[in-house]
Amino acid sequence: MYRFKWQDLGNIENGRPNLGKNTPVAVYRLMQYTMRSVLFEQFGPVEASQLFYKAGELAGVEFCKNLLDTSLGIDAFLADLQRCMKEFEIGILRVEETGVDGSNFVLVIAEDLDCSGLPPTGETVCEYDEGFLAGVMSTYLNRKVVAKEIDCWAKGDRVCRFRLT
Amino acid sequence: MAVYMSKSDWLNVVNNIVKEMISGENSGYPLPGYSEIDSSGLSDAEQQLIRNIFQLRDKFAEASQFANVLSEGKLEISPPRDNNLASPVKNIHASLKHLNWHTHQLVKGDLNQQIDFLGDFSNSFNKLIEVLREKKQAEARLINSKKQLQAVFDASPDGLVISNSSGAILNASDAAVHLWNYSDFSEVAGRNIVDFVHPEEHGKTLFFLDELKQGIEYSRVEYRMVRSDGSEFFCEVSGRKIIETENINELFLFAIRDITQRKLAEQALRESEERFRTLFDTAAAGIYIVRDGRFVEVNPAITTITGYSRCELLNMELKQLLHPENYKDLISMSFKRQKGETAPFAFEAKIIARNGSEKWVAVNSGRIIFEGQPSNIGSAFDITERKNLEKQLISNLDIRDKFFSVIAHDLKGPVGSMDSFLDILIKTDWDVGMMKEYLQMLKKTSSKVYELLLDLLSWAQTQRGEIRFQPQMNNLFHLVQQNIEVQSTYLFNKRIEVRNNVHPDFNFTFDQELLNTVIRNLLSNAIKYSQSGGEIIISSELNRNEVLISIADEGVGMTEEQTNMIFDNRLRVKSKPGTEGETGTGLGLLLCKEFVAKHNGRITIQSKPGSGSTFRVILPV
Repeated sequence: MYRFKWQDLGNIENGRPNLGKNTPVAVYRLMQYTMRSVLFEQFGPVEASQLFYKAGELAGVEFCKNLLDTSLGIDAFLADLQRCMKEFEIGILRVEETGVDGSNFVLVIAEDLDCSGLPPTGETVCEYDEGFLAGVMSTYLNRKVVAKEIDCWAKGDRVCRFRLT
Repeated sequence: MAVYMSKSDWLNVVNNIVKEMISGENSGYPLPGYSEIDSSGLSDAEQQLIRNIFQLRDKFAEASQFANVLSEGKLEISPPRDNNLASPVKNIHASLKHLNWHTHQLVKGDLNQQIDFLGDFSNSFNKLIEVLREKKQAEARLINSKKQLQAVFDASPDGLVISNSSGAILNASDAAVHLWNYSDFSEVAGRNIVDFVHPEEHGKTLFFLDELKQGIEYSRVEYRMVRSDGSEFFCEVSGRKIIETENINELFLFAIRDITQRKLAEQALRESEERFRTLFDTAAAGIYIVRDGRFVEVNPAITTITGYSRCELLNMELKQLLHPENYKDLISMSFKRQKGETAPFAFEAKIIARNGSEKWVAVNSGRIIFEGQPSNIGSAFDITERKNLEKQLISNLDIRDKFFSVIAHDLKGPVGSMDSFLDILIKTDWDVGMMKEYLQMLKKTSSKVYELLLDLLSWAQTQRGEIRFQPQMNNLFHLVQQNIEVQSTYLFNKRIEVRNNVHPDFNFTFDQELLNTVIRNLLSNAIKYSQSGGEIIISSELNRNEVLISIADEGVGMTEEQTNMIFDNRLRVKSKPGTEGETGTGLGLLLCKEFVAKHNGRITIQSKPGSGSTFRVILPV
């Protein structure tokens, strides 16, 4: 059974000496939304959304383990996460709230890779992002973190806002 | 119950809704809710339009209220959902909340954050964070610098003191506190630094405080300070003015170093140097220090030994003082020592004193550092007298050896012969003729022994200095003639003829007895080494102020080497047997040399093997 490993991303620079390591957002979304279409059709919206959340969570865990410095304090860690998400062009992370005990966060991702610029559909579509943020913060805090999108571009909110508990 | 409205009523309602949305003011027209109105008189499209307008009004009102609350700075408001009119405001709301969070982070001191893509907000905020970061770093550097300074202050072995411009102590390191024999800074805090200075140096301290106020630094000024128990100690103090930037007060920093041990060491060194100087100046031995072959210091005894003044010696090289015989050896020793090889540090050498005389010195030398440079130090004793005594002793030993040698060898033979003759005469009945013949042989041997004893006596007297030189006007011819007659039997037996060519009236001043010995020995030798039938000629001449007496034979002669050795008493030349086996002591020629020397004269020899020898006695007149 396949289990994702960071090394599975391969050596992109060697593999794409001419095309380089970046690809247009549209290509990413083409895969994301075609996959979404198939999963929704195969499993229904609830289960499909859960699958996206789980995939995002796995990505967040690996992202945190491989690219972030978990020895930092929470403020420095959030700044590092912000820098890293910008560097990988995932989105512009903005922190709105951090709980007094560091347990509750309200994070905003502007120019989100998954949904920014989508026509309003009245539905949140950022389950993958939810899972991603939950995976990152779970790994850093070393406890189960749940993320919930409370505003979404796809619902006409112009930003994607997540509450992490 | 729903109120029926005509189309014109509807238009009125819609118009007032739009007017209120545009003006933001209440139109005063009663506007019922959509559900309160009976719109059955309208077409489906008209009903849909009116529903949308009512929904637009509600969304607009919701967005307006959200914006109004937000404009009051109330960021905790929940943004409306599913309201596209509120979307830009929601974006602003999100940005403001993010900025608000950032501001809280700043208040917490978190300078790790960065605001991206918020236009002027980002620029200003990030610049502010950058400034704060720099300030924080500067503060960290300042704190670090202060810590380092404090560490230096605390760890410095020198006592460090900070005072105000009046000298009142504001801070003092533990080292300073302990220097003054206190245990805690509180015991010295606020006291004036002058209090810790010896009273005799208060004036000096106040003077330096004034100079410090004028910005003049001073370093390593020696002070006497006093401890809490009243004891004194020596220290070096450096001081400078420093400015406390926060309140622009003038402060003074003092570094105090305890130099008591150094002063004691200096004192001990001074005393040691004085002792050395006294020893140096009063030593009986000459002491000198040489560097690179030149004298760099000499004591008075050296000047006594050499005759040179100190000033002259300090301008001289060692080789100028040394006798050439010793110079090479001493330089060789010096080189060996420089190369680490073994060379004697004690030796005897000859020097040439200022008056040109040669002197012997016994030297002990060694290596020292003088005036910071490797040098040689040496002590020298004048051993000239000892050397002369040694020489005299060796000469005396030579005399003794010669004396015993003569007795042992030269007297033993003839005395033994006489003893044998006497035995024969006693034990045998001889007729008168035979007895006379033996007695003549005995007499001959006896005369020889007697002659030998005379020479021995003369020589012994000479060596002891008992021979007195008593020149008088005498006739040389008669002296020569007497000696020929004394040797007549000997001459007859060897059939040798002697011609006295000295003028019969030749008179001059000489010691009759001494010159007689000279002529006797030279004539005796000439006979001894002449072949039978040979001729000996004795002549004299007056040459300006010298008398030349020559005794020439036609005998066996000598080689040049033999000629050169003949008067060297150190070589103890053994007398060579004569042509008929005659023996000799070797004393005769030595006596000749000594006695001619008494006349301030000299003897020369001209000889060739097989052609005879000519001895010339040259005497001044």
